[in-house]
Amino acid sequence: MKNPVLSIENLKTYIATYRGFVRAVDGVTFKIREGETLGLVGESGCGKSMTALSILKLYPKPQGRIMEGAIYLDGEDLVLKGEEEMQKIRGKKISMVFQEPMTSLDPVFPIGEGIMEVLMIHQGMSRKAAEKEAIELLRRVAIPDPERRMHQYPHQLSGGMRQRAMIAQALACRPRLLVADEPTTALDVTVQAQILKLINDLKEEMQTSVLLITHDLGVVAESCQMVAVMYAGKIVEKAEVRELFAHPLHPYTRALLSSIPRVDGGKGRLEAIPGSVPDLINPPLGCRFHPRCRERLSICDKEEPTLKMVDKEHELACHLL
Amino acid sequence: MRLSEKTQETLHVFFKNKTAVLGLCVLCAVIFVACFPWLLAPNDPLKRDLSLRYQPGFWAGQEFARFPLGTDYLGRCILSRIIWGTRTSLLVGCIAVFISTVLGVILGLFSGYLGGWLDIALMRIVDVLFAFPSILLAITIMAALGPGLEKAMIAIGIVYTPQMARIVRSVTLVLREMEYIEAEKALGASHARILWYHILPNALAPIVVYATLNIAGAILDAAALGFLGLGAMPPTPEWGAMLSGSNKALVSGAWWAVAFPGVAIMVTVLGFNLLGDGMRDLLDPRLRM
Repeated sequence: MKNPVLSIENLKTYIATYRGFVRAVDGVTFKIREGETLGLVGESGCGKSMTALSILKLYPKPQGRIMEGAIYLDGEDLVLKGEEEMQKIRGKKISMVFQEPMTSLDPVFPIGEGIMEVLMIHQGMSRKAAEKEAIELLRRVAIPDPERRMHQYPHQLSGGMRQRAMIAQALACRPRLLVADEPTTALDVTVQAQILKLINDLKEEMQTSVLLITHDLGVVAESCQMVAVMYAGKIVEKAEVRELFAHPLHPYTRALLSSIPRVDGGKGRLEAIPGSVPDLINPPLGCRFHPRCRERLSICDKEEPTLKMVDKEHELACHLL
Repeated sequence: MRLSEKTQETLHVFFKNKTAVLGLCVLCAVIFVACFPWLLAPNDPLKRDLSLRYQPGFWAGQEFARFPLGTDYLGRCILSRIIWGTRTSLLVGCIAVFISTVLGVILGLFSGYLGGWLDIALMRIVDVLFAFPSILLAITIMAALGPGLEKAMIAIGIVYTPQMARIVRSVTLVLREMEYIEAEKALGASHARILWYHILPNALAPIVVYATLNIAGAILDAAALGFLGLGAMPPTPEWGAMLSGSNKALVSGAWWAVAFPGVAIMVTVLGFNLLGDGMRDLLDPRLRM
């Protein structure tokens, strides 16, 4: 078994608002092993993105705070690191690819410039060397004619091209961990598959681990080894990818899976989960999913279930078991 | 000399923009006049002849051709005074705006980006400066610095700083929340780097446009200070002082004493504004399709 690259333990990131603390991430624990892709799945507003930002310590400041927990990157706790140390880690050991390739590249800089910037900050490269390396990276992410393209501005490229440029930028320093926050959501379907394949290929090549945040279970099935399902700031089920699709145990996971249209499915109505994500300032007592759960027991609104091992590589937080 | 592809593209975009080219031509002409007034002025700008007060110019007939744009209340050649005044007015406008832009950009960037108590403190100071009518504030500063054209430039620079600071701050507040700034942070860029390399270039368009617009106001304010005896000292030819000095000319029907210095200011201001607009287009890569 390979060592974990990233290990998050009981992470709690709260955000102060006028009404009180939003418990965006409330006791999240997971590990990502070397060269592994973990998919973090959940609805909008369940705390996926905040988990990602917590790893980079880029949650909104000063409102946001890590209240508890630890984030170990290769054994070092990032929670204890200061801003300056984090600047050296960001982009070098942990990189992030954002959802919107339209807005996450600086519009006044040519795309090559962005890649060169990372190389010059973290590797201390000269402009010349960085330029050569940037061309190589753009070629590697399959941008045609990189010598010319690198002088083009983001608005001159298509969405898919921009996302490729973002990936080149993120992987320029061969980071230990790539955090991809819905990297394909803003792209059309054909491009989605290409971008996922690119991330997978580069992950293999650079021995990088990936935290893939998505609400699309199709994306998970395609490119992850492990899946964690998040609901209202907590992880409710965590399993090896085939195991999860074959034996989903948590009612929320099952509901998610049954709300995907299937080609071979019957003619009935597509299922939707009634209700919406609960208010994270005053989350429901007990299991946070119980107000929407079809199989709830009397204990569910009283006692909070904890994450327990139910099988090898399969953990679950539910009273049903 | 071979120009790089990027420079060629930049020049191409600039020269395609007709108004910007027009602005540049106007400004080049004005700067040429400012550099070589003795080549162009038909008369001595300081020579007065009270027997020739308020003489009309070329439109009145051949016999008045000696003073093409007429004479002012002391019988001085208006055209020569406008030509010699170009340098002073241009300098006052540019230096005052330069001071206000440098101060305003620094204050605005830090205030907007860092926020917190620094933002509150700086913006309250700016609010206090805003509370004074601009000319009164300039007079107050002049009272402390003493009279003179150089000091008028400094005073006007300070008067224009709060507006620039507010504009830069508001742009910074918007840019700070952009996703690409977040992305830069995620790549490990330091705050200084984000501020100077990513926020400032993105904020440049409104800064340039606003600065060029301010040059016009600065020239006029310098004129007002001159009128009060705090700016350019008579008999130094300066456009604003020429306007203020001829305030009685209109009563006597000598419209030319007021109109032509006004036209000179207008043409210069127009040149700056057209160029400013062109610069904005040039600086914004999204408009370079």
